[in-house]
Amino acid sequence: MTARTPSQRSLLLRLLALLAIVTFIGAACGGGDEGAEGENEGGIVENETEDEGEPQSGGSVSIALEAESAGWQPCVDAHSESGTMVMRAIYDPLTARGEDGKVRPYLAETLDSNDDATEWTLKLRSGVKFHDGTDLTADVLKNNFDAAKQPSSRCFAALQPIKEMQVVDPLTVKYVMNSPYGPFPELLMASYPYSPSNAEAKGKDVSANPVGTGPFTFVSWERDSKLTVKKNPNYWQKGLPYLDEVVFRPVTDEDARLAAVESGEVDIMHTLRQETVKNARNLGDAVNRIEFVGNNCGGSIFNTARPPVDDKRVRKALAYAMNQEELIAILGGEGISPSCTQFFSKDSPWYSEKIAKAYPQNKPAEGKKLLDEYKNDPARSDKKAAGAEVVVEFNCPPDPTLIAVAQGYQQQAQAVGFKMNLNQVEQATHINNAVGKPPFTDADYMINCWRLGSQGDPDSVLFNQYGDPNNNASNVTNFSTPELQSLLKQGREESDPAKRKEIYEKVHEIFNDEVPHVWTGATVTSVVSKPAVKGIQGWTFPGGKTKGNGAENSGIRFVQVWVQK
Amino acid sequence: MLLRKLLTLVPTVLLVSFLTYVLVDLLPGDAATLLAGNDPRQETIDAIREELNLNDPLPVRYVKWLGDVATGDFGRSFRTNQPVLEAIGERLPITLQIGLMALLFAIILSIPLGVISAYRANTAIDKTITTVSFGLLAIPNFVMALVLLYVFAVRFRIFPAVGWTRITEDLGENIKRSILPALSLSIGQLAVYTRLLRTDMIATLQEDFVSMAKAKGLPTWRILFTHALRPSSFSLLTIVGLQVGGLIGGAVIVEQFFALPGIGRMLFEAISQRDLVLVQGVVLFIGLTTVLANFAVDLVYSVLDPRIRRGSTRAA
Repeated sequence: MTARTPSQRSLLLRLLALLAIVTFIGAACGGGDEGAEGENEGGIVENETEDEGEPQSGGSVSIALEAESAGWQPCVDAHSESGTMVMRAIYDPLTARGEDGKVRPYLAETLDSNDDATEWTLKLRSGVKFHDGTDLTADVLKNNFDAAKQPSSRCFAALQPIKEMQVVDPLTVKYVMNSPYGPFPELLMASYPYSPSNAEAKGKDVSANPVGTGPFTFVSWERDSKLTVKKNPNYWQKGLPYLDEVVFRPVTDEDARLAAVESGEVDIMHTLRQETVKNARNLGDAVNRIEFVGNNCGGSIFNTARPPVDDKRVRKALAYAMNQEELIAILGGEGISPSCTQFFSKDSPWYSEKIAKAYPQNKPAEGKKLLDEYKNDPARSDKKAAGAEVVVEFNCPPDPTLIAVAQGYQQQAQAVGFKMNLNQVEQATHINNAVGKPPFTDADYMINCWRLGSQGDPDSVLFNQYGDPNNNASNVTNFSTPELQSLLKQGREESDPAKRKEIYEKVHEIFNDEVPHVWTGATVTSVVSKPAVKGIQGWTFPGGKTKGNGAENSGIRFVQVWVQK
Repeated sequence: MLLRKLLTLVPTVLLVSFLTYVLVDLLPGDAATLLAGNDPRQETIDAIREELNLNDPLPVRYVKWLGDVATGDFGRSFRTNQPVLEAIGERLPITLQIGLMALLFAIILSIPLGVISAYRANTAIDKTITTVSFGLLAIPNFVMALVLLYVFAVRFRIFPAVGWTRITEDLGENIKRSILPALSLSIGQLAVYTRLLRTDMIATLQEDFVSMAKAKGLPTWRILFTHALRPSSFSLLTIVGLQVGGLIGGAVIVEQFFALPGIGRMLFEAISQRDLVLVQGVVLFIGLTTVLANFAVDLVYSVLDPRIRRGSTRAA
């Protein structure tokens, strides 16, 4: 078609200009194949070969993190999930978890308890020095402990079970518990000894000048840009680390982070978002991927102090209304994220098949029956007339995937007969609403999007979250029964794993009956790396014989990572 | 006269700073609870509130902050304990660099485009430029950022995807890393400036003195760029001053995408975490920057327009 008149010519040109813009955008949105791989059951799914060869020394590795952290001083600064990787590079934890799930001494040499687990004795290795040349001694541990036990310290809550710490000899300390406490070694997994002389010299600036005993020494930190560490030449584990340098770069945008590893700009990236895990699968063999599914799941919590969800029937109806598989599909997690029924994944030694089967979900008829029972109850807790609609409020942070899930759940709840209103609440407000104000027996929400569960010992996640709601900011559901409290106490004090498993099963029986929370699918995380980077999965305890728990939660320990030249 | 103008800036900045303080304080959510960690205990929350003087009433806290600022003490961030001035000093230059580059791209490109558009008004070339302008204007800068990222960094590997190198470290790297973010920011501005300049130019080109210049036989380009451009640039200039605020808003988004350690990203985090001290410091600097930018625009007016300089009224 030839354009003859000026107006035809200009129209043509205008159309061409528009076409150019659209093509430009189209070029960038190249299609990728949708690749759904096998179902994830739990634990680690990888396409990495087991045998990586002999580690080679030298080289530098860069990793893109999903968030920056506030600082690097233990018990003072908040660090994100990704920040833990930095902490483990600069510091050593006193204990760590093995492949078999058992917690063993790492920086510590031995950790033993007395018969009833009321006293734990920790012995340090001799000759371990901090990066500033000072020695790691029992006095250092005491110094660190005293600071951590201050009310303003972030570690204050976690250290509640400990009554005091005594220095026994220059390399030995004894922790005295308030009552028998079996899971104590686990507590020390987040205990990173730091140099007291450095902390005193730097004062408030210690957060940006960390000194630990770890495999790498701190070099420099440009906030939100990059943090550099280099090999510790005097590391107490001889021959380690292999790498000369690690550079950590926080990249908050998910797509940009994936693009960074795709374009080769960084060597490793990790993600805690299902959507990105799925996108990473499209990168094929150009990269190595490790996917991790643990105990952490998405879910919703109910404020059991607020009508109408203060009534068990309403909560159970909401649980029966939920089709978890459908919500997972909405989240884009089909084939990636398994559904959850309890605080433990199928992989966990605490998992109970009995509880899984009994978890109330996906029975809309049952749900409708319970809802109607409440509706027609003249003494219903929301003080409305019998037969009036039951209205619930569901709050979620304005994350696009959460909004999609909320809308899905709304449909499911309304199919059963609820009226569910959706509210978007900004993250910080969301948390504050759930926590509430003193005495913390009520909170400012009805149903909240939330995340539940962690890799730790059941006690560490359940004791505070379902402890006595009075003056307990962490019991966000405000739910408690005397039986639950008694069980939680027993679980903490019992040392026999088989008996503890029974106790936590009973705890879940209460959860299945009272439903203070529901589950919306497991959190899948992933580490994506260039094939030349090795050793991500294979860290071992000192001595090289016992295998560690790999890249749990997609966190990497750089002590035994190496690069193939 | 200039000094008087400068003095009127001070109450403006103070007002902005006070309003921000009140607004952030009114936001639901408590800084101490957020700082207390997961599963916080009441004692920890209380202790942190004491440490940060959050129990004092708002006017007291504001006046105390103002007093500290007057002596140069901007306080330390609640979250990171880093001195606020240090944090701003680290990050402001980056945002300023990107912002200035974006501004320069936009102005430098919009001048020829606007002039040509005006000179050849309602012809094919004008319509093309207009359509492309509107197209670019309609694209939000986060979409632009993503598109540029994928095309130039991932597909064609011309520029790096993320991260920043300081100008003092490596000029080449620094320029490479600043081009894509500056481009994302400048595209929207470019469209606006082109349109504005075009409108003003069309009006100017109809003035008598332009006809006279043509009659004298001056070359076209000389007429356009030496004689007609200056009087046509006043709306453009005004808008540039006002757009500084828009640039900062755009910087928040663009900095997230390209992982730049700029002030926009820091401000966003600080607000989310209720880091009051840091927010106040940043807002003060942004307020000052905006106000000074507009003041600079006023100064440039007098340079551009001799009539303002001489204080006489415009000829009818």
